[in-house]
Amino acid sequence: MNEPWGISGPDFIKLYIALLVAVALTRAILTAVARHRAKQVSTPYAGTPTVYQCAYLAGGPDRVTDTAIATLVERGQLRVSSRSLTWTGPIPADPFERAVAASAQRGTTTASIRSSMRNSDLMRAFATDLENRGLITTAPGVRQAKTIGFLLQLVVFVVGLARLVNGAMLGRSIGYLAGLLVLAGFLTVAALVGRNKAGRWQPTTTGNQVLGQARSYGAPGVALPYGALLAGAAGAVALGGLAMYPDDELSSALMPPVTRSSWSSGSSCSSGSSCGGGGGCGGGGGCGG
Amino acid sequence: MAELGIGIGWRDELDLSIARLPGVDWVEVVAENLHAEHLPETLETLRQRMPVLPHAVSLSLGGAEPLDTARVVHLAEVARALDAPLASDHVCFVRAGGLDSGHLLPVPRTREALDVLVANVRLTQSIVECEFALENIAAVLEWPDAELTEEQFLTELTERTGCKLIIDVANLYANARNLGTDPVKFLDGIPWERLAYVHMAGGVERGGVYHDTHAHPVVPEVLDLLAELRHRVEPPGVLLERDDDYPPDSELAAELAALRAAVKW
Repeated sequence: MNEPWGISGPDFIKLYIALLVAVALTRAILTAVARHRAKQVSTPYAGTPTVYQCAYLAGGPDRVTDTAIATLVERGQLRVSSRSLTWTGPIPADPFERAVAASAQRGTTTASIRSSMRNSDLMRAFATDLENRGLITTAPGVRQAKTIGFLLQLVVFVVGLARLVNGAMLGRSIGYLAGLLVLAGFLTVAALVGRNKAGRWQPTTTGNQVLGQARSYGAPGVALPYGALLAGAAGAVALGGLAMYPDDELSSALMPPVTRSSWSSGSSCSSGSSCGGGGGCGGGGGCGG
Repeated sequence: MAELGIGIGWRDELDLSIARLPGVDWVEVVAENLHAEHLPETLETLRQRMPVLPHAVSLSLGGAEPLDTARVVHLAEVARALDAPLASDHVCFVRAGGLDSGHLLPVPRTREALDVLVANVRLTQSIVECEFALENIAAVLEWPDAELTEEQFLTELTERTGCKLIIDVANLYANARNLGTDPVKFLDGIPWERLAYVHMAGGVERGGVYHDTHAHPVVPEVLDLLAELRHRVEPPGVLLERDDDYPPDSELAAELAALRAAVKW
């Protein structure tokens, strides 16, 4: 019995592959169960949602911001240039639109406005209100499941690393194990990223139903519960993101550089695909030129 | 140079708006803000539809120091890239003793200062491959012992160099308000055959001083002066300069329409 840990190299490789597969399956099952449970946490929704509520359900806080931007641009209160957005007045009445206008007083970008709005008190209060209405949930179980999944993945990685070091010290061949360890490391990092993103707001089943109804606006033979509400640029952007702003040139200028969205929209109404979106003069006491 | 019509100053903040504004026939762009090799895409697109004229702010042609020809070469390159029939700067100086003023400063209206300006303009004209024009500024002060009035100074400048003139009506109004000059006398003394186009801009009065801000609407008095100018000449072009606090497109369009009405186009 000269094998390290009493297991031969080829046997350890087989065992390690089995471990990787088992942990990956366990993580997937844990997350799926937690997500399923989270979506059951809902109550029937009565009433008509606002365009900003639909926006939140479709794309989270950034989509709410995008919708406010679209509203102001359509009204001529926000000037779009290739480099910046600038508020042109007057001061809007809606709190989201007012906050966007305040951010754009001296010229800014969509990404910057999103960033300032994302964790604002206004957005947090709005999310809390949506939760109280049963439209979204923080789904703490999902984060818990992903934490467990990450820890399992980390243990597998550490075991492989220890075996690798041990094998190297004994002068054994470690090529296959090194390859598997790279894979294990990648899976561990992915699990950590997934875990850090989990636990944010996501729509409940009721929220997804509301969103589904909103998305059916305009479809043949479908009643239009929120018709007037979702008309125009605001409605298009609320449900589809800035890519749906009804002017291609402005749409391109409004869209920030593509980044991954942190919002996990419901899958039951196909909303996932659109969540990313991703003088020098002088003189005369003034300009003089 | 062909007739220009009503124009607006091209600024980054307006780059998508200008093409959508009704009644814009041409634009003027600050040359120092451009690289001839890398013109903004929106400006390239606009250039296919209308004239784009470069306007410099840093040549310091009225300065006593040797002309910084690198700046003139840059203006020439931008004018060439824009295929512009005319480039311009101001009757002013902006540098002296290694310092930049950050403002357009008035040139003393003496024969000696005129000689310096004429020499610098001639050198500039030899570098720039298109027509060259100079603009009257809104002065923060007047130098003592002037030998010429502003209109005499500008007239002699055009006679000796063959340059054209951009008459900034808002600057004329600012000088009248702040320095007590007579704008009608100015208009009576200008060689209108040398007129390239007219600048218009908004401003505001604070503490008894009129500030040519380019960030406020054009005041009615400046529109009246434009109408007074129109009694003497039909300008080839009229340009609205707006550099800050941009209003909605509807207000900009209304300002452009007011300019058009003032020159009876």
